[in-house]
Amino acid sequence: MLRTILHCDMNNFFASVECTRNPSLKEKPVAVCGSVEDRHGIVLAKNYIAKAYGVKTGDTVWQAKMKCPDIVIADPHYELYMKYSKMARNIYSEYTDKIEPFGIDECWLDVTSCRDTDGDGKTIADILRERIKYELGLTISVGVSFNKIFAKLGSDMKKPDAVTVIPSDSFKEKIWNLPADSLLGVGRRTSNTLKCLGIDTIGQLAKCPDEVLKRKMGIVGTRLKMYANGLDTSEVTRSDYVYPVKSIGCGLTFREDIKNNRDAAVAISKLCEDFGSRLRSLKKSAKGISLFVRDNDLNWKEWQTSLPYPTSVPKTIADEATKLFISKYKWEKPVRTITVRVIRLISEDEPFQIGLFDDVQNEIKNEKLDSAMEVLKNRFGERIIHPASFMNMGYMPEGMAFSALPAGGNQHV
Amino acid sequence: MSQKIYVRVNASFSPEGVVLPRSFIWTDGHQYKIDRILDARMAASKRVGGCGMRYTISVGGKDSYIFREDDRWFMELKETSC
Repeated sequence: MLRTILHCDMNNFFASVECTRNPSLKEKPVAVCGSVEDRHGIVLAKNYIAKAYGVKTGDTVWQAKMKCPDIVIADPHYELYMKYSKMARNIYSEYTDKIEPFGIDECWLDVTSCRDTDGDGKTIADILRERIKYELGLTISVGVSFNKIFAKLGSDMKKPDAVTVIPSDSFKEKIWNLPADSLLGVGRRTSNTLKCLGIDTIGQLAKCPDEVLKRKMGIVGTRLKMYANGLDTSEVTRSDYVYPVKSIGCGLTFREDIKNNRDAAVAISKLCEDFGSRLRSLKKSAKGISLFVRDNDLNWKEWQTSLPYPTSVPKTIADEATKLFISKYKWEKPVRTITVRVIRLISEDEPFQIGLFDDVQNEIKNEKLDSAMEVLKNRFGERIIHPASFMNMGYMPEGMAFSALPAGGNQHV
Repeated sequence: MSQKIYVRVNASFSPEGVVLPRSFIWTDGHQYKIDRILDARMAASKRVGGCGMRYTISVGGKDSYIFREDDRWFMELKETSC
């Protein structure tokens, strides 16, 4: 039986939420941008008026202002976006329990089982579109098709506040002339590879011989060909499905570039600070780490290494990450961003072989120290205790840097 | 332009969890009794922004909206030009 899959995409989500919260912005060009002071000053979302001026997601604030001098720059309000996203999902959940989020503002819905009661895919899509508009004041674009890939493609085809149906009996006429990069999974690099093979459209991808695609792109090539032929059979996961955690990461763009190994080591320790509690809450230990570094020219590199033994102790993780950083980073440019991830997670109960020279006593001591700090933080707040090396980290973003405690006596403001 | 006015509300809470506004205190400090609730549904306020449970209420023979957004209540002040 053919399935009925919907893909709902909330149009210009962040900017639309800001406009619906403050209707006086509706007739103005609006861009939601990160903090310039924290060096996140890029356009995260824009409304259609700003788009008409050529403002693009990813533009810096000054670029957006050059293109559109009257643009209104709004700060992001992530809690608000989460709230609206949850409200939209609550509406979707009245029709199906198979809801798979794709980011904060997109969802796939499998409505196959409610076709008899609520109508065909197009009817349900129109109901959802009207309800979201009426109840939340936002617009959505909905793609309706018989698989997830085409449903996603459909929601991109007509915006805003629209429904696009890609039926099984006429999908070739409807989408095979579209550029190949409109298909989910075809990014800039894949698109360039396909162009090298003379493939510009979805139809050309669908007809390309398997051997050619496999030779050039491996299994990804044949999978994309399946997508182009409407043969994607992936399921829409249930809304209560919990994805297994494969890694945990923490990254920061610093207020000021880091210029030496000492500051980098402290920053890495800070990034690893919460790994202990996060790993313990998942009952996991990490067998490896991954380190991502971006310099102030926005060039980046990523390295991985194995930990000497599976661990959840932040100090051990930070020490290994620092060693990796010092051995790999050549200081051609100052560092703008560092991200540390713990990878290859295993159950904390899984036995492992201790090395002859591993300092197990010290590891146990550090684990106890981290647990004690976690208890204190849970009881008295995040800032109650921290390593002395975290004092006066001027390059950390607002709210993350600790300053020295004020001395006693009178203070002058 | 309309204005979003947060108001103090007296409400009844049924054992089933149904919340109904009974009276509110307007910006002039006067307490207005809600005579009837004509409708209740989730809706967005197009005039002043925000969304939540929207009650269509009758106060002194006039119909108006009052919204419950999270834990706060607001009404729409319609500004008229002279």
